Amino acid sequence: MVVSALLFTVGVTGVLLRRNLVVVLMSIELILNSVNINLVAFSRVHHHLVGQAFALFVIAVAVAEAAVALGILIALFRNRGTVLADELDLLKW
Amino acid sequence: MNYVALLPPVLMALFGCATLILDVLTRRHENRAWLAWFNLAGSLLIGLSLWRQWQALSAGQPVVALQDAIVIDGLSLFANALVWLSVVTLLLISYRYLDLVGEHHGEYYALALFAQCGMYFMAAGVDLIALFVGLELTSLSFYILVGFTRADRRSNEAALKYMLLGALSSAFVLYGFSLLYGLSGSTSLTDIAAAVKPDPFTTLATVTVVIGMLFKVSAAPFHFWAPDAYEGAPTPITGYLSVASKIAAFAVLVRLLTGPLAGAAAIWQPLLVFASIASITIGSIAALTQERIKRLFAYSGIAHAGYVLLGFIAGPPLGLQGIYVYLLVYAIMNGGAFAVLTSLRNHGIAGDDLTDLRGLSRKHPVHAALFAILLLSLAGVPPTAGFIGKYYILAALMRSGHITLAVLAAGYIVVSLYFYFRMIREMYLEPSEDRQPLAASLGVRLALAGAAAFTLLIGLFPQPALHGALTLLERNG
Repeated sequence: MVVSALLFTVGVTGVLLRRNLVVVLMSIELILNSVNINLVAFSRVHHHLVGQAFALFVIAVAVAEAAVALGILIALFRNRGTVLADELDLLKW
Repeated sequence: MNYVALLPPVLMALFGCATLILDVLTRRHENRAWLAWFNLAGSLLIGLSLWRQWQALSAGQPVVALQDAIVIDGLSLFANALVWLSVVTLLLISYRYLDLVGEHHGEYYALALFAQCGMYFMAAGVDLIALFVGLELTSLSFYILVGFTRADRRSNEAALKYMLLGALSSAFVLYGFSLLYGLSGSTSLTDIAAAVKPDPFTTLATVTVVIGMLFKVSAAPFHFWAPDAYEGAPTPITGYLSVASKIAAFAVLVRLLTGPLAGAAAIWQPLLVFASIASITIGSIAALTQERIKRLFAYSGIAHAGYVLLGFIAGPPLGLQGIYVYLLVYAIMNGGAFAVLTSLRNHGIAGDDLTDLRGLSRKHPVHAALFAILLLSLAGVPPTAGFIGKYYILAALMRSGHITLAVLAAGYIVVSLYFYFRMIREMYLEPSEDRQPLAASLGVRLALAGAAAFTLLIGLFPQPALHGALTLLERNG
């Protein structure tokens, strides 16, 4: 629980503070991993496997999400030549 | 195993995959529009299977499947019917647009159907795993759809911003789900409802889940992705995103807040009060200064999300009834409005600026008139459907004793009149510029005419809609 809460906090801070979008993506993966730790720990507490099955789903989805994210990032990098968050300023009011 | 409950998502997935295969097999053909008609035929089948669910539900049979992970009740059927309408609108209005931007690929239709499949599980899921997988399937498809015009840098940027904030909000929801699982030792919503009790653990779980879902419905102060994503995405996708994904997310919220988290109302009520006031305020005021139409619609969508959230504060049964009516009305009028916006795009014209509406009343009087009806409805002017939607929400709010909130919300309706009328003014009063005619395909005309007709019908004869909402509530028990 404590480890997972710490990981969650690190992840959220990373998303909010880092400029490099690759690092932001890594931070999101950290949050998902904190969830996995939670699920597996709880599954042990409750003595059944549902939590672990849930964790497997989360891992699969996280992989898919990372693939899509990197795909979009590469498309962006080809067109713009940057992965820094504050240089993406075409859409503003 | 109950095939009635699983038929629609299976059909969606099948038609999605079939589209992908057919697309590869027929690469050499120039004309891709038949893919849209192929998927419309698929949507017809999906519609029939939803109709079959309605019959089973009316007959009083319980429709559950996948070891009680998904259930067909009034809520899920209602949300799925609206999502279905939105998909049909999308298919009708897309093909001309895609040809114009030069990105007509089969993946577009396949992803739209996969997203629909995800939303099906969001609306019907009564198990944390089903809800989560549905949520992610929807989001992943939408990330790609928003960035579908790969060569357009704004589309890239929109996709990336949407994707980062979307992934963050999913992670929030998921963290809350893991805590809820820890609390109850089960992923089924009914078991969780029994285990929810006031302690810090529940508070944390409720707060993270609710914040994550507020992201998804683009309620302020978690709305930052919406204007960017809406502006950069291909216009038909913006319409789809603003209608379908919002409705599915609201269905999840209704499911969670009236089910397992009903016991934690003291925690989420203040959150929602703040979010709804902030949404209506920011949405209405920021929309005043927008020069780009899709951005304006993004802010108007934020304000609409705020009004729907007010329904949660009023609470069941009147508030829920208001939510149902409002979502129905919102789906129809926003879908129709985006049909018009899509047809604004033509060779050499982006169709993004408010000034692109100029002279529409002279060149296309029918389109302009129908669009004006939809705008009046969005603003909530009687006798249109938008008025009925707002009326029920505000009435429910008054009944439940939240007079101040209701008065405040009603005040912002006046503010919102300004920017909707600004569009009407551009259409009717500004001098016409020399421009090409609308790229209005048969599909766009159909979608627009249907939406405008329903808007007026519901506005003039609200009884059937209200009656429908009541029936749905009864079947929800």
